[in-house]
Amino acid sequence: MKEKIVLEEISIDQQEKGRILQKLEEAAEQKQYWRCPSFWEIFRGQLKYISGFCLGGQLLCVCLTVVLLGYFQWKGEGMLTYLGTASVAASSMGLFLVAELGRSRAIGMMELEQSCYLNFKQVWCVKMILFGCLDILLLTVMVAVVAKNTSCGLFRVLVYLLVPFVLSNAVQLLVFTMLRGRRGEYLQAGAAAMCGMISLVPLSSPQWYARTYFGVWVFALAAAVLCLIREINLIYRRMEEGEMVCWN
Amino acid sequence: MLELKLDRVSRHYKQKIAVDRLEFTFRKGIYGLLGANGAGKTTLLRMMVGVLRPTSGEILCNGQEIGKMGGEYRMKLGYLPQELGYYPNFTVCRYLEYLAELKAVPPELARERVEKLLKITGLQGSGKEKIKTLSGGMVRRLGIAQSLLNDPEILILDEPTSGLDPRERIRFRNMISSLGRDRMVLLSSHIVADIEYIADEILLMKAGKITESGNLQEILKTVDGKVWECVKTPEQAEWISQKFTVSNRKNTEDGRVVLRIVSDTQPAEDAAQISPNLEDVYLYGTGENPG
Repeated sequence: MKEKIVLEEISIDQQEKGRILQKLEEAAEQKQYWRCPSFWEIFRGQLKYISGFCLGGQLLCVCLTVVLLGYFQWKGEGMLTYLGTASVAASSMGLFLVAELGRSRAIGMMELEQSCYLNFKQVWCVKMILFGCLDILLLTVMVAVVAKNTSCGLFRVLVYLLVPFVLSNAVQLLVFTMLRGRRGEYLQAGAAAMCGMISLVPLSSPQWYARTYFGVWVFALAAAVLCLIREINLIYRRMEEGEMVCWN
Repeated sequence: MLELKLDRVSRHYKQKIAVDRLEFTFRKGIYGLLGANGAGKTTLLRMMVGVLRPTSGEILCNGQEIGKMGGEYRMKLGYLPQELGYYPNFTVCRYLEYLAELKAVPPELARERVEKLLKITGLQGSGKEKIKTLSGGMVRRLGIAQSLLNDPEILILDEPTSGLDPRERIRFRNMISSLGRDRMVLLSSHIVADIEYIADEILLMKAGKITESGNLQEILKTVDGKVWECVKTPEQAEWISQKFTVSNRKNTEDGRVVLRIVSDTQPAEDAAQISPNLEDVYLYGTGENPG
């Protein structure tokens, strides 16, 4: 029969125990409440907090345009229908991104976000990348479908669609700094509607889409790009100075 | 050791100078910033947070310019702005989780931290409420909670107790006091008592400059012999109020008025010198006559 093992009684030094527990408590207190997140973690994190209205609106815009283009293909519509629809879609795409960016500006969040590790400029970059990807996706689909169903080549269609896209983004950024809150949102929507209507103007005389006028389109695109760069630069400078952040 | 140094920091708004060549070094402890409206307190705090860029001069954290440190500096920072921004449709928990995300708090710790701070600030029952439904005091407490999410080494609080009721104010003061043991806390307030009770060092600001700084005793010394008390008739009291800075007036039962006056010279023959308090220093330093 096995002998029962009796453990030797160990005396506990209460003072030492207290000291060790104290050290453990101090170590727990020193626990760091931060870490450097990867780009993917930042992206995934931000995705959770983007407004459903803005992201949903952008996605709806993409889906609706794709469905419409498919419908036109099925019906065998002409060049002007394709270009008109695609131009309006291209000019309204910037609205949702600017509305999303305007959220933090409208309710004083910019100042608080600017003081965080991921400041609002970085948050804005993430949002711009996300919405930009959707824009590129839609533009690619539209250019491919319109080029396939019209006599215009890929490059010409790209220029025709980039003009309303870039111009409307420049206008959106211009009105972005003018008003804030609900009035700012209305102004933003109004600007998008106006850009959509302006993009339909060339449809009134189809020769604008003729090869002879292509130089005018290229010139318009260059001017729109310059306007957009100017607006981005202006907003960036005002953000760097900080006044736009504090008095938002 | 943590050190935040203002090196001839100025900020101009067109022609107006909001902060004028400030030089000061902050270390561990609680600093109270006192000053009248427009003295430059908020501008100074915004520059220290990195929200506003100084027109000239530098702010150095352990010898490095804070703008160049970028995220490394902001990681150390907790900030409560004067007007707390929030997304009205966010719930209290979602708001704190969002800011925890921006403050790079690891997700596994964020939940625990949010719960702890909700408890500390007395918002534990409001976690699922939308922020737009909260009272002003609750929003202020939410602001305090968000400023502590990342357990910051530098805590900058702009008017933290405005909108809080006396019980909340006392609780918050005690909380700040315990936080200040192992970090740098800088708070601005109009409520002189808040600063008086908890600040290790008091800074008095006027027209963009720090006019006085030191601990309470040192600050009080600056108005030693300049605080007077006298008892006058209502008509005489009115006359004195127009001529001097009166920090308190109290009616007595016999219809006369006890005046507490801050003045370099004796305001009346029967005026006796009394020991000053921080309110007297504030009024003397800001040159304000409350009437």
